[in-house]
Amino acid sequence: MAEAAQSRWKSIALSLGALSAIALVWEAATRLGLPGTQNLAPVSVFVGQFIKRVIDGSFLAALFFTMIRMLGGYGISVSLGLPLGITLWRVKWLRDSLGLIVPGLHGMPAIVWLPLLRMWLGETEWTIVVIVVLASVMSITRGTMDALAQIPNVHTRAGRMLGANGWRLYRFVLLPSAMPGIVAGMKQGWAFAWRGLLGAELIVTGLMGVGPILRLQGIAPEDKIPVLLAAMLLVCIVSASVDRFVFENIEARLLKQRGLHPHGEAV
Amino acid sequence: MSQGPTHEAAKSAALERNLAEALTLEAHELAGVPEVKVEHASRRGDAEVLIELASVSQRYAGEGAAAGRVALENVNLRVFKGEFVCLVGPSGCGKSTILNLIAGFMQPSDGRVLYKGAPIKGPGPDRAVMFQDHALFPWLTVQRNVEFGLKMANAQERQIRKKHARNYLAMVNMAGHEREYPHQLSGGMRQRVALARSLALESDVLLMDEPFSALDPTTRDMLHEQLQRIWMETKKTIVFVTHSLKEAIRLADRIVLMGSNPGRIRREIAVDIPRPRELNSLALDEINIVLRRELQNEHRPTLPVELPGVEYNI
Repeated sequence: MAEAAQSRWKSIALSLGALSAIALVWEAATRLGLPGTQNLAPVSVFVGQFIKRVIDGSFLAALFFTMIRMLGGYGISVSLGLPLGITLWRVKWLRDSLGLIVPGLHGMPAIVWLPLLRMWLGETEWTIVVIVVLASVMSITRGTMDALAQIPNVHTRAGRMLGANGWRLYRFVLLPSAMPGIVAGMKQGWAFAWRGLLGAELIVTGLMGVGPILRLQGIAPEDKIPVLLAAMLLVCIVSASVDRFVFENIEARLLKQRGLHPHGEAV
Repeated sequence: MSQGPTHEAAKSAALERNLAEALTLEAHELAGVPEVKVEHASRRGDAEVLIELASVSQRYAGEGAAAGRVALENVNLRVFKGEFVCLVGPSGCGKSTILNLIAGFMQPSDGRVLYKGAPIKGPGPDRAVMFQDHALFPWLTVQRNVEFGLKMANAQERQIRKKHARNYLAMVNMAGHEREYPHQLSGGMRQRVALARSLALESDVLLMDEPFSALDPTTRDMLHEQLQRIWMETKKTIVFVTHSLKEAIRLADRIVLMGSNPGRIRREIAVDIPRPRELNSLALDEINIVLRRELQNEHRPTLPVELPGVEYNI
């Protein structure tokens, strides 16, 4: 245990060290006005801008609108993707007939839908939410399907022998057994949704959120670069946090319970 | 019947030898040997037939190498209430298939598989199964694994379930491990938890598919002892699949000897060595048997071999 904590602190110290080194070089280069830095702001300036806009609430308000779309769209994706994944796993003819559509949709960058969606739905919340859904639903569907397909036969048999039938077999045996794979699909779905969402926010006009900041709506010319960098920092922090504190935690817990190591056994 | 330990040892050694020989016989070699019907009188009084396979054949459908393979051909088997039956045979003889049919994991291509006189439609908690691989749920603690059957039966409150599970864990000497996860246990401990989980169903029947084959000899010996004790205490009907003759002789009331290509029953041999049977009384060295069997496979006898094991039929 103590060893694990120690290695955790070590890795935090290492990544902080790397970050500070980059920040120092960046700061020095921009302050010295080295060639190529005229469209950059010093770290201290844009981080100051970031802190200011977090404190005055404008970043948090923007993030709030963005996250509402994200959570709404992602919620829809999960509630469609899970049952769809289960159904496709269960029903062979459906799986066969959708055999090309699912990977097609899955492989397609969701942003490709945007021009069509703007015609259909206009510059509305729905356009973005549908992008979020399209970006993530197939990851979750396929993740669920593949995870169910990999359940050891013996779990299913043991479950049925112990009296788990119908929905109880799903609730208490199949879904728990498949959970690591399902979560992996959900994690991928989240990443795709996040990309689709910000892409759409950059293009769709007239809505609140992080997108308009990145488009520098109503920002004074001298603030443009620091605000842009600050907004990028915000996106970066949110992306990393969700990955690190939500999905990695869930995955680590699931794997630990099962006696597996998230990064493989030390070699 | 005052049989000294020496006599007993000689008897089980002889039995083991006969079984080993019978296992290596080919069908045509057996043809000349008269079939012996075991007229089984249950040790426990009235011989109620609990499980019956009537003219069961099993062919594998589907694609690949296994397609059309005959796993079982015209198998007839009756298991009586309270009996401990071991199915023994080489791999591919269909012994696990028989167990899977009784468990309800598969349906026979031909014939009927009955439990208490009714055709078996699917798996259920009235026929507990213990698998070769422990088949515990890795996401549940030991306690929750053992409780699982009760939870599915929907019958009792959490506290009662808990107590019930603890009782069965104590029965297999696993008290104190309730909060651990299966991966934290050794192979032998996992099998004991799996046994507790099966026992907690309190079914009349326990089906065991080579449950101890992956364990070291010491652990296996201990589990044999526990299983014998549990069987005597709970009066369950046990169908036990194994490829180890020693194991079969140690545990069974009756050994059903099977052959392969196609899978079928060759012989049924009653074992009337008194219980509990100690490891030491099985005098024959296991290595010896293994070597002998290897040799016999190399030089198959061309003449029918006499089967003195028959003399031990009740």
